[in-house]
Amino acid sequence: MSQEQILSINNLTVEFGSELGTQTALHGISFVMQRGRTTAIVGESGSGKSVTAYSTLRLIEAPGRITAGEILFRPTGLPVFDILALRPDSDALYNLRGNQIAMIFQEPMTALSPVHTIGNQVMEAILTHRPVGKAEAFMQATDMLRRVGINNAAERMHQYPFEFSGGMRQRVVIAMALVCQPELLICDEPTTALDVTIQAEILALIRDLKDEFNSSVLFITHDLGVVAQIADDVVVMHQGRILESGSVRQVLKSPLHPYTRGLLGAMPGLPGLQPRRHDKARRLATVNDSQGTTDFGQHPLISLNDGRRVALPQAKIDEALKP
Amino acid sequence: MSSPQLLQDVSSARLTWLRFKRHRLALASGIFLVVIYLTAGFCEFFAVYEPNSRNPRAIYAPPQQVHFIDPVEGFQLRPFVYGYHLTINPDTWVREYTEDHSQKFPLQFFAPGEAYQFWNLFGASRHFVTVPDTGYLHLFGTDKLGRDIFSRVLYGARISLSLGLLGVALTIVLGVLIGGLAGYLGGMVDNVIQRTIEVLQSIPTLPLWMALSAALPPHWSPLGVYFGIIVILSFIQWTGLARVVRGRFLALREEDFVVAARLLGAGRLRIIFRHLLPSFMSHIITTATLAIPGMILAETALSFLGVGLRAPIVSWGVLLQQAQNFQVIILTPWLLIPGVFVVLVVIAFNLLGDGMRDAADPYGGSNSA
Amino acid sequence: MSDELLRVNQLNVRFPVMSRGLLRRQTSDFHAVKDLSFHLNRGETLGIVGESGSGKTSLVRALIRAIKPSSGSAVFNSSQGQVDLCQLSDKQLVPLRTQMQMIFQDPFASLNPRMKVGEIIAEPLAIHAPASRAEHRGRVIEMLGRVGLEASAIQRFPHAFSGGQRQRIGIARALIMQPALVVCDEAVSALDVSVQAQVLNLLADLQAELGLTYIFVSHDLNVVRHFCERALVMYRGEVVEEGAVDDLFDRPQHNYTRLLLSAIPSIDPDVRLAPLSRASLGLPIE
Repeated sequence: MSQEQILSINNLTVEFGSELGTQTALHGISFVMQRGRTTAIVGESGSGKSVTAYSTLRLIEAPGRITAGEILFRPTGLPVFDILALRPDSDALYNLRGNQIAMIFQEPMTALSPVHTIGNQVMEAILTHRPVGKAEAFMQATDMLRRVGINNAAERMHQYPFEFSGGMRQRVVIAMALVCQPELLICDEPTTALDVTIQAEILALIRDLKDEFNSSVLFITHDLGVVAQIADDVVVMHQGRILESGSVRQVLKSPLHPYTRGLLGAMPGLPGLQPRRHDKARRLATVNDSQGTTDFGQHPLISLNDGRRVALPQAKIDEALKP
Repeated sequence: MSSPQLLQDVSSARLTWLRFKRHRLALASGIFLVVIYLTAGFCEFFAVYEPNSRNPRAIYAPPQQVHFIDPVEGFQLRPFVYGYHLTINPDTWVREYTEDHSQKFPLQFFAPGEAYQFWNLFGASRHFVTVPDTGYLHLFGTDKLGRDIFSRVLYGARISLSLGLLGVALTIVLGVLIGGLAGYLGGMVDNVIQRTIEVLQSIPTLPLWMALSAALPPHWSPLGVYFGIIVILSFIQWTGLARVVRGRFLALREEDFVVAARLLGAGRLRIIFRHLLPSFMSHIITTATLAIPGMILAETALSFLGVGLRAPIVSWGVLLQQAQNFQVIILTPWLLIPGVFVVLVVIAFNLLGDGMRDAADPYGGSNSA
Repeated sequence: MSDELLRVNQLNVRFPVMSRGLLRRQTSDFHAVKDLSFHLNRGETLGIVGESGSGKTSLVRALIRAIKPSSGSAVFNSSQGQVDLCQLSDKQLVPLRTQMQMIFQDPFASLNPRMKVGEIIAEPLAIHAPASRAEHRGRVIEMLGRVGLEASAIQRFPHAFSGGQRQRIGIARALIMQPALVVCDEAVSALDVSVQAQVLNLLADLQAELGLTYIFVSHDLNVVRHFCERALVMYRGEVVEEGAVDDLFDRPQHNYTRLLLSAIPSIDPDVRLAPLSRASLGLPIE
């Protein structure tokens, strides 16, 4: 694992047990995150994208179980270690969560405690991981709130989450996540619950703050538009397997895997990608149209010369690469 | 993570059962309760004697031990008990019983014994276990009149356990009806019902029960008193269930599938009986299961205090009335055996209720992505 | 305007705001839909777009009388002649329920988990068209075929189906009485994009087959642009702009429409998202 890589997930396998048997959520997936870049995992429900994010912070709870694999993490200036090898109650894991790796969740309301002020919660994040006094923590928290775009930050420190709108709450959550300057920021569908105009603001904010703090971001989403706007690298997941990965331009502009093509084709209202007619014959392409009934998910990933990987037989790749 | 492929074709009832089976304690409690309810239901058969038959040879006699090994013949398959040898302690005048090895009563299963009227329908004399006519069998000992505690516990179980069930049934009817009205009609009706519940719940229950039981006419037949007590206990208990039902109604009324039914043109009755009630039937059953021990305890308490059921009715509370003084604990601790059954049944119902509560929502936790 | 199905005039929806405490008094009200007027032609698809709190859901729920509008009129050209949906009592509405139906957002919450799919789809028949079970069964199976599900589905419970399949069941239930007007309240918003495409295609096919008129509520402008001919843009309970979708999306007139459009993330990584700011458009900040 080279210096430029911050996270390397190898053969990660996660299973969920139920009364009716065991379901495999991740079938031994592997990918690498480059330092200072935003990697997006895109997939539909059941693809295992959130499970991947949760595994990285060891947040998988029973009946879920990580059964195999390693997650290598290299903080700046520190040796590589395997997150999965940490003991459940160890200081190292405690330090990892919130300090080295921070997470932003989909629902800002559930990430904030309704009975504590915003200021207390942001300060809590600082006081847990940094050896600073209350006054200093207050200063840092106020400063952080200002940087995520909250006006009158000092005043709003004393308010409760219900006094904030959804978008403002998500800004607070981002402030809490970034206040300890984590090396890696994991965003699990951070804009899915928000209106489109607020989503645009939050995306811009995450993009700016990532550059400002020089963090690496793992961004989980189902929305290809969001991927296009936020990601440098993309991992396409389906049913617990990676089907395709590469740079955002490679994956979105010249997708190789039929599933990726199907997803793009299924996006409505995209001028240019399909004719938009109002003759009652308007149809969207579906994944089935491009993929047919063939299931390519079982095929091992093949690495191409240009750095991307795709789960297809070589013949199919050659066919797809032809203009 | 959902597992839609696996969940396919599994009915909700089966899913509930699968979840329930995971709770070993609840399952064991359920089996225990089924066994004890069956025993109570057929207590004429399982009991050795009628509840009021007296054995003058055994007054305050301790439980007999069941033996398999005879000092002369060695091990034998058929168990037996020894008769009592009574001595009176000259210092304390306390009866002291020892085993009289010259009297040996072999246990006989499914054999004829004391005659009884089964459910007042027909006469019979076959018992699950009995001893020959000349002997006697007191597995849990006897009381001051020489009545067999084992038989009386079984007869008492019939009264105490059925009272719990009937009381809860009445509670459900009252609670669902009144809570449902409050939740569905809302407004003024809801307000009046809510305030009534609050007033009822603010009255200390035991004094209220005692006052109401004391008000039962003394000339009522034992059966009348039995039903009177059921009504009195349910009169307080329904309020808790009514609140639950009201809350569920209010919440469910806004559920999409209920709104959908309304938009399809479904009438009130159809919505209530097709959509609302089935949706929380499991919830009601669970709440009711957890309410049964309260009923049984309440009956026991009232009868223990002498204001509930009265002799000649035999209930666990009535039986425990004999154990009201501290001498019992030292001299005749077997009179407390009915209390052990009360505790066991109450624990079993609570464990069963907990298991059912967890299993009740077959879709909980299986839809989340 | 020859074949008008619905004409809405000055429609208002207000929700009472109650005080806390023992005596709940109405202290004020929340004005969710303000003096809204529009018309709807037979066979067309009218989109209603807006963000959360814009009043779009309150509007359609009032139209379909899931809630009672406070004032205004909504004249519906039913098969029995013109009726004002706002004036009818719940009882008078019952026969009209066969002519207007709704498809819900949440495919999990909108189907009773304790009823079999066959019972769910047959429920409108049981209410409005009492007939033998066999007859109902025939119609249910036919409807299942139309929405792309197997006949064997009738014996199964909703939890055996995926989100997309459940949405098809909801569609079958809404369409089995052959309504004239179908309100789709964020009907594809909860679905994965590949499933969303299939359901949108299905809705389009069924519209062509059965001559349906759709009111299509969505927060997703791309979906509205794709699926609808005309759209209303709602903002704070009012319609700020109305028109054919192409005009609306290519030449927005109102600043709020411009803001919405600028916030849509492009699928092309080279087209950078550059949302307009509310302040520069003269819109209040959230």
